[in-house]
Amino acid sequence: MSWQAITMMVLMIVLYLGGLAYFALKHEHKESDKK
Amino acid sequence: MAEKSSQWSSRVGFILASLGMAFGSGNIWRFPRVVAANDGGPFLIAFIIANLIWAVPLLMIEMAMGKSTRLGTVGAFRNFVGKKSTWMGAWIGLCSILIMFYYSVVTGWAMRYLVFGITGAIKKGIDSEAMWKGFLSSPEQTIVFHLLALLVAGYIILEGVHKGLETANKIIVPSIIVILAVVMAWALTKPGAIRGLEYLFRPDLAGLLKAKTWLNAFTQAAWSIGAGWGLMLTYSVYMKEKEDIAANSFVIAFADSGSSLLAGMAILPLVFAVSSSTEAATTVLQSGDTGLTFIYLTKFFPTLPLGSFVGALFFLALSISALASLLSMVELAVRNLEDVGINRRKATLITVVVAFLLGIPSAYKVSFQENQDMVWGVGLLISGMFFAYAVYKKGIDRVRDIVNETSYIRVGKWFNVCVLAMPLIFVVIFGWWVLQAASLYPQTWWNPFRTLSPGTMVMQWAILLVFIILANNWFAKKIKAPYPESLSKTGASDALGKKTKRGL
Repeated sequence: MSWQAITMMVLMIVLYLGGLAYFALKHEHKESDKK
Repeated sequence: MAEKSSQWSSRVGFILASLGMAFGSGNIWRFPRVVAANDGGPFLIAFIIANLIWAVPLLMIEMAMGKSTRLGTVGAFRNFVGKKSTWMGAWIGLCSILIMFYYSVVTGWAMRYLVFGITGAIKKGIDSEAMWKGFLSSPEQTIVFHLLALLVAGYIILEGVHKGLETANKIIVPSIIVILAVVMAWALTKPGAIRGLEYLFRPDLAGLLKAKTWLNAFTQAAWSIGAGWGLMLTYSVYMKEKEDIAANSFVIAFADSGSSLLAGMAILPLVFAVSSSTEAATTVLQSGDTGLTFIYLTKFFPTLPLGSFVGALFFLALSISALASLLSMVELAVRNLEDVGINRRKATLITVVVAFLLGIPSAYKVSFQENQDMVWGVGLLISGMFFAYAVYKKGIDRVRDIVNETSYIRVGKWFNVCVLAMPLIFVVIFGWWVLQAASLYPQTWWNPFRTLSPGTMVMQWAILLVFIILANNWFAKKIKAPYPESLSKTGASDALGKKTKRGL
């Protein structure tokens, strides 16, 4: 597997899962603000 | 109007149910095929952008409408936009219900292959093409499994929102993720599988300059998450008052896209591991959704160690993902029936019986199912436009206010830009699909009795449109929930007559 493809794979996984984690945690932040 | 007792117990419950709705067979059998045909990496970038521009704003609109009206699609349009627009809610609801008629048939196919897998029928040397054709040409089998899918869905819906839908999705969604991860890990241990990953993540960014990449990305975004179908609106009826619309919309979009990526990382390595060359793998991937799944994957699984077991697991994931999407369609129909005063038990029974009877032609003849898939699949784009119209009529800023009311992340003016861009995106994608359909039959594209032609699409849409526009006032009267005073007095479209932050 070429390094370009590996880079693309890592970037896409970070983008897709990072987006999910970011917005999931944003909500958790809101919950903790209330406390 | 939904009772207060019918609510999701937690945010996790709501998100998992929404993911069950979004993550259907299209994520498993369409996404890997489409990403492979569209240069890999560039498509993955275009897909996430398309999700953010088209799907996320639509999810927000649907959530805002469902949460503020607490009514199904028909009632929501009456109480959110105005009586004259009730027919648009009927279009959205009926479009998804017409899809339900054949989607339960597709769910039945997946269930049949799960049974094949469990009973050991998927074994080395199998003639998978003969198996698939034999199954399709056996109406007693396709009809029985169509009925089975509806009975399972009906039973879960009958159990209610919390005990039925939420509990089922809390089991189904994590199971799909775990199974796909197992299939991916298993496939990646096979020689040559890594070529599949390389194909999936081809970094040729020139693909971003191709119109086809973007058209396919927007199409996949429109169909994959289920935004604009009225399903999210239905699930949002049961949202808690303080539920966060903005964060949840993004979470659902990213989780659905991430799951699609996982499916791609499971299926492409498998296809490449058993294909002698890239050309051979490409031929397999061009065989269509059902060809790839029911002919090629069925043949490939048993050729590899532990393959029959992993194959059965794969069809389990396909069955439950299709079932979870079917659940949302049945719930949409039941919610609309409950809104006219029919109790849940009777509404579920009516939905299951009608869906069974009207799904029989699709179970009987696959060409009928394919034609319905084309007509109402493209029709969903029109549904998306009706949601955009609802926002224009209500006022984009006012809808944004409803979204922001309980959202931690403040949705900015970008929402307005996305909503304003929707008609343009619609015209381009809709036009592209109609032109594609016309290119199949250059001489007879106008013929309304030619399957998959623009003629048949227009004829079926026209029949539905005439019926629902003529029945608009009847639909509006049938909804038991009160009509907001603000709408009847001023014609303004403030949901439930509440004052918004802007003091209107």
